[in-house]
Amino acid sequence: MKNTLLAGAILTFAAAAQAELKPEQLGKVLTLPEKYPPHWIIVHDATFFHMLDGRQYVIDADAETLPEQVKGMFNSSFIATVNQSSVRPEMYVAETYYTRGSRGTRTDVLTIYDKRTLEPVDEVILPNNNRYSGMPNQYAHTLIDNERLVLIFNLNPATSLSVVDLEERKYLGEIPIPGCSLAFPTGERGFTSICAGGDMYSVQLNADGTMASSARTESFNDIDNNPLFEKPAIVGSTAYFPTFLGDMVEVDLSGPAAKVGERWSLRQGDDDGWRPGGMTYAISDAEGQLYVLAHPAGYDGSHKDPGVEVWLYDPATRKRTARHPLKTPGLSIALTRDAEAPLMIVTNIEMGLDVYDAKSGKYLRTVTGFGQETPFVVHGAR
Amino acid sequence: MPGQTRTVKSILAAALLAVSLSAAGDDHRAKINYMLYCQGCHLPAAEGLEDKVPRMSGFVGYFTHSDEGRRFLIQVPGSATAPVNDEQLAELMNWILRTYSADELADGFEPYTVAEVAELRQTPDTDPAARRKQILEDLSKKNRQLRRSLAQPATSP
Repeated sequence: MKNTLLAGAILTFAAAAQAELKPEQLGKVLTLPEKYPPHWIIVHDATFFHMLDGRQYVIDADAETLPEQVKGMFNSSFIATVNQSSVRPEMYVAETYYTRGSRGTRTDVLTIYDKRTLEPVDEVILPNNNRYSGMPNQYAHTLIDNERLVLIFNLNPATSLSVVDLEERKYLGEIPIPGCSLAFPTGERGFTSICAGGDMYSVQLNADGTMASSARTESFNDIDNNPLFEKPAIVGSTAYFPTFLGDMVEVDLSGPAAKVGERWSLRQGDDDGWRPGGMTYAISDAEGQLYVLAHPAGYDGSHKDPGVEVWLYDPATRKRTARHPLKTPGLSIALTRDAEAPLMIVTNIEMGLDVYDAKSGKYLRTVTGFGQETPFVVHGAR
Repeated sequence: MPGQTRTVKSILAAALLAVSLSAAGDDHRAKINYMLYCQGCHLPAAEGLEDKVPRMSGFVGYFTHSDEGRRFLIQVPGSATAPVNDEQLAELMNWILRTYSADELADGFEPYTVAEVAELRQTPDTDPAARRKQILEDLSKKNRQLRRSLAQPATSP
């Protein structure tokens, strides 16, 4: 009797508690905004130790807890290259699949993702199956012509660029860039590539993606002694290339052909031995300030070493304006797109993402444990 | 005396070294340059990779049958932009031709000179694949051996 009463009391209590808990609807699918908030980032995890299943994470770098930080994920197979549109709610992944996963017939494809659902909504086959699938590089996948055309770097090992019309969803063809690599947007509808001979090669395209004109600079890049890094920071139409020994070389990309400009030193003051380096080592913010990842006691071969400070430069004066010591050494740096209070994201050597206030250099938080393994490149979301 | 013997031996060794340098030293350097700057793609026996990397073994010598082909071998970006100086590039190309494709060389083939290489590599190709195709087409019109080589799928360059 007593037991029955007790059981009844417990049941009553449980029912009361249940009435307060609203039953949760299962299978709830949310959509993301068409334009991502300014402090969201796209994290390219190349999954270096099993490259078949690379992925892109959409992360809110302002949020404090993991469930709030992670907004979604989509795939990018075989160390893909990725880009985002600012005029269409789309993201683009140039990737590779084999019919049996790691073997079989190869298919290279440009997959188009909807930013709101992270669903693949369309694709364009890249018929020559010669896509570069090397370490993630933002200039292996370049939007030009007001984002109408995309250039995808090929290396098999002859080098060329595939041209795809994103509006028509159509493969237009291939432009050979013999002895050269990557594509920096140049002029009205063109690109510049960096070449093994120490020169740069610029091409302007016709509307149909064929070559309209081409030009080579003089050989100015001292490959043997002090080469340019291949990934510049671009402000407006000026590309800023750091060199292995710590110079900055400006290249004007506003006209149809690249023009080599000023060379100045990143080492200002008593910074002997410091050099730029890492994986993504030079970037610019919405205001056009330059950020360079740097390490001390550089030596021949240290150009991929992690950086322990980020140095800021004003390109107008070519002077260093700040030094941000890092909490943990970093391999890659990225910035959110906003001008007001941009965040600097550092892929640290433990493969977590350290978030800093970009202007003051104040450490804010570390985003990690979201399933990432090797988040080599981070992009400020658009 | 032991000391004298050592001196004689040293002189002999130095003399041998000098002889070997003048006779085969350049070949040695050419082979090392091949290993450093060519074989990553063209592979150790210059066999190439079907549909991707041209085979040089038993083939590259055909290009010496025309002036255009001879120019192409230096203007192709793998040669023109290789990180070796003009002297070593001439030496390397001559070594490749002799080592991997002696049977296909044109009669009376004259080795590349340093001056020739220096001039040619200033104007690298803009579309090497198309130019290569054209050169081989032109050459195969008058060279039955090359025609046969191009027709064999197993050894297609």
